[in-house]
Amino acid sequence: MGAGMIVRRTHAARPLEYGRRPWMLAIFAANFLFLYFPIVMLVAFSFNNSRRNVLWEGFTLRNYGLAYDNAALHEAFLNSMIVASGSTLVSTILGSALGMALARFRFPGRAAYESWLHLPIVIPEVCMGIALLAFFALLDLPLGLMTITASHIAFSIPFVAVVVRARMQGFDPALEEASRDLGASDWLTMRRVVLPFAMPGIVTGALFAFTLSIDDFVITFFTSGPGSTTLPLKIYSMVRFSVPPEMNAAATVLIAITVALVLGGIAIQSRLDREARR
Amino acid sequence: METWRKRRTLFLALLAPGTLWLVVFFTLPLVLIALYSVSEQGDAGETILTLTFENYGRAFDWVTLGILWKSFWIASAVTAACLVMGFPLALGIAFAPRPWKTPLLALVALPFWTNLLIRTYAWIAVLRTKGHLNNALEWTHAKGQAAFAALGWPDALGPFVPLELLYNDWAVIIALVHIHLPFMVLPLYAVLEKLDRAHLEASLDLGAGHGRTFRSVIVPLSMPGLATGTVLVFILALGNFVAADLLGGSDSMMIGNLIAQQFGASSDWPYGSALSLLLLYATFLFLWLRALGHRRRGEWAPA
Amino acid sequence: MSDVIAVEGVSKRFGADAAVEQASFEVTQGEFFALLGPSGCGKTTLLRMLAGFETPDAGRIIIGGKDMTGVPPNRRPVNMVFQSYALFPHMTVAENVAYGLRAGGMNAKDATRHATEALALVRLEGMEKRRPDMLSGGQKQRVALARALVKRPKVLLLDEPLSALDAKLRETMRLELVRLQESVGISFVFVTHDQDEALSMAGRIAVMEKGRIRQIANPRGLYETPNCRFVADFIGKANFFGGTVTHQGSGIAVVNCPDLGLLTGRMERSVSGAVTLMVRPERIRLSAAPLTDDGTNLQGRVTHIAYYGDESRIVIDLGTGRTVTASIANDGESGARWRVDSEVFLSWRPDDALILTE
Repeated sequence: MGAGMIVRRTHAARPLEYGRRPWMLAIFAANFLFLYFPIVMLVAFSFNNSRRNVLWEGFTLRNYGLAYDNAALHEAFLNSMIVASGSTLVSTILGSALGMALARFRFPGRAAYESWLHLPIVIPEVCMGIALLAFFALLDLPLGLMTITASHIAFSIPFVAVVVRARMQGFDPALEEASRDLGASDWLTMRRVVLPFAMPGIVTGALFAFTLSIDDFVITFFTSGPGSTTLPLKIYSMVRFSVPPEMNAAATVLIAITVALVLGGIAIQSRLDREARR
Repeated sequence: METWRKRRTLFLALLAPGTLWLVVFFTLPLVLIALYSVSEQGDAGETILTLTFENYGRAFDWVTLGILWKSFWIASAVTAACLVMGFPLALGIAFAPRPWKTPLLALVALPFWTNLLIRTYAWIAVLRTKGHLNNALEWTHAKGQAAFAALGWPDALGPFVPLELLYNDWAVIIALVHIHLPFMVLPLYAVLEKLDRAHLEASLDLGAGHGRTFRSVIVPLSMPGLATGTVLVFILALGNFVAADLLGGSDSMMIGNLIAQQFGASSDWPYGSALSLLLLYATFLFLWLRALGHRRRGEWAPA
Repeated sequence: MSDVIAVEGVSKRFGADAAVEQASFEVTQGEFFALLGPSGCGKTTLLRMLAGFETPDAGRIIIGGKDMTGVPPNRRPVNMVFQSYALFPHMTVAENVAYGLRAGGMNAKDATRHATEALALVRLEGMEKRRPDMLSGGQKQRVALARALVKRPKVLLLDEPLSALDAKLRETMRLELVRLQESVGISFVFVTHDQDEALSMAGRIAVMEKGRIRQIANPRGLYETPNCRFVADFIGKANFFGGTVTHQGSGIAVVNCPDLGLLTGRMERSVSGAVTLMVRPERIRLSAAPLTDDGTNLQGRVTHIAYYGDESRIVIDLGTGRTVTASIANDGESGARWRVDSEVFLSWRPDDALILTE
């Protein structure tokens, strides 16, 4: 088998194996350099032992300590977590229900309904942000964690619904009929047959919603008030006014959280695929 | 799929709560700014519905037209750059050996999951006067200077002058390309992956080179993905305001910044609402054009 | 007669699997040559190497007297009809056919004229403006043929071109392909897994098994003088008897088969030791009493009769658990003579059986 692998690697490129041509490797290299150079530099310089953080002056973890001791960052991080948890909880429940309904039912105006449901995904964030600001102002709602969370729920619902619907399209309705035929009530059928099948989609949708929420800047920017600064907002003001040394450390932590969430999502998805193939 | 009438209660229980939330926190706010866009501001800063089109009219004065034009050309340049970079990348991934595909796709998608502000900030660190790029140039300059000096030609290159890379339109474009490249690559990859290899082989077999095969077969057959990617990148870049805010110069204002300004410092909500609606209409126009193109090609486009 | 293709000792591996091993053959000018074998035997890989889509790991491919082993497909004087036809869905029929000419640098006007002529050749006049998805399977097939032939290739390569058509249409297209090949005079190399297709169309056939070419011969040669058990079994039906050679002389050998005694058969060259004797079902004569000529005589009982319309296949148990299949023409006399459980004598002339050594 080992010898076989070597043979495979050394065979001449076929005419359509564009991925193996030297110029293609150069394009890969250029694109990935462009995509990763700034991020890698940012992460690397979070370990830089320098006040001004311009030139590399040695490795340190001090910036992480500073970030940890920074009360404002602490508060922003806490706010982000509160908003993301609340938004994930509500949008996962509402979005999953929508996704299941769409996978299951035919109803008049379905196509139009779906276009409407996809709108929050496609319209410019700034439009949704100012619209929500105007709306909250009209209702005289004080801007804060509540308004941010309500807005995050609104833009997360369509994403969760899309993911859950994709999952439920693979559901065999005969399973549900079989359960009912065996004497199970609707509620039992839902709990023991439908939900377990939907669960991987729901978990992926929840991870999706959480990531969207802790990453969101634009809509949060318009719907936040005093005392409800989230991590992206904090980073924004740091970038605008002064860049403290702990900036890179805070950014690296946020990157690590999202990457972990995304990789977790991919892992769930691929385990799901493997199960489906079995 | 069953009809909703068969299980009304279940259907409503599943659909109603989410729909209600979206109506309240999405549709009603949009309706509200649509109303604001035809309103006037009172003396006390209150908004009075007067059904005026003056706010829209103000979008067509020269200054605003200049900003709209700038937004349009920056979004176009970003789209073009994403196409030029993204098409070969998507092609390469689609035709890469099977085990490489998923890791390569993940590498393209991962930056998308990195916070928008962090990526923008990362570009500031790269592009600023004392940024990574200028540092690298300065280092190269010093080495060159030393080399010439060793040849008996001191100060041949003159003093090092850092490039002004930040706070201009190019910095905005670079950051926007960085942000939106995955939106071009992923839809293109989806169609290229499904492309029937026999069509490409037939083209080569009939004597066409790789260039002609690309132009006459690959590009037309990947039209659906090409259209999706182009429209997606264009409307996202058009509506972005963070990049211009943080990386642009004083003249790099885009429509998103102008809107944000009306709801911030300028505090002119009716005008900001009108601008938002114009941006929304532009978005819908491009989505509609894409759907139209999709339908016309529907006869052969892969589903 | 000159060779337009010479394949010399070509091998190709995919990872650890050998797809083609040491394949050698020639195709002459104007010949209809078939590569025949079960799926996975390497015939398509061999064809793709001729087209230039795969590069051989060893050996040479010579087309029109020039070594083309490493030449890319767009610079080879061969064209291919794909199994799926691979018509460009975004081009009209005429554009599809003109595509290769335009790629070769011909101006639009001449290319259109040639395309129209090529379409007339495959009887598709008036279809120029249609899109491929508006055509039937047979029409698509003809467009694919026209598109490849209009390039005037030295060799036309066809990859299972009839497999996507329904049975009736396949029969018609066989005759049409032969007619077309004769009228254009271009060599065809045809890949198929269908022995009827190969036998009825090709001038010569290479039978492949597990990456190797087992035999190259004309249809009659393959059927009547297969050189191994695989070919005999793959082409048509056959009964096999294993045994040891006891005597041989003047083209005939006597084989001692366990339980059955001495059987005679024709040999292509001198044989000895363990061999296999092969008899085609239609060469077995059935009778109610033993026949007294110098051929083989066996006795058995009919266990099953399968009626096929033009013939019937009769399965006979020779008593030792071994069965033989004979076929008889349903010509009105012989067809109804046998019933299940009839006692029957089988015989064949030495010339009707063949001794195989592999």
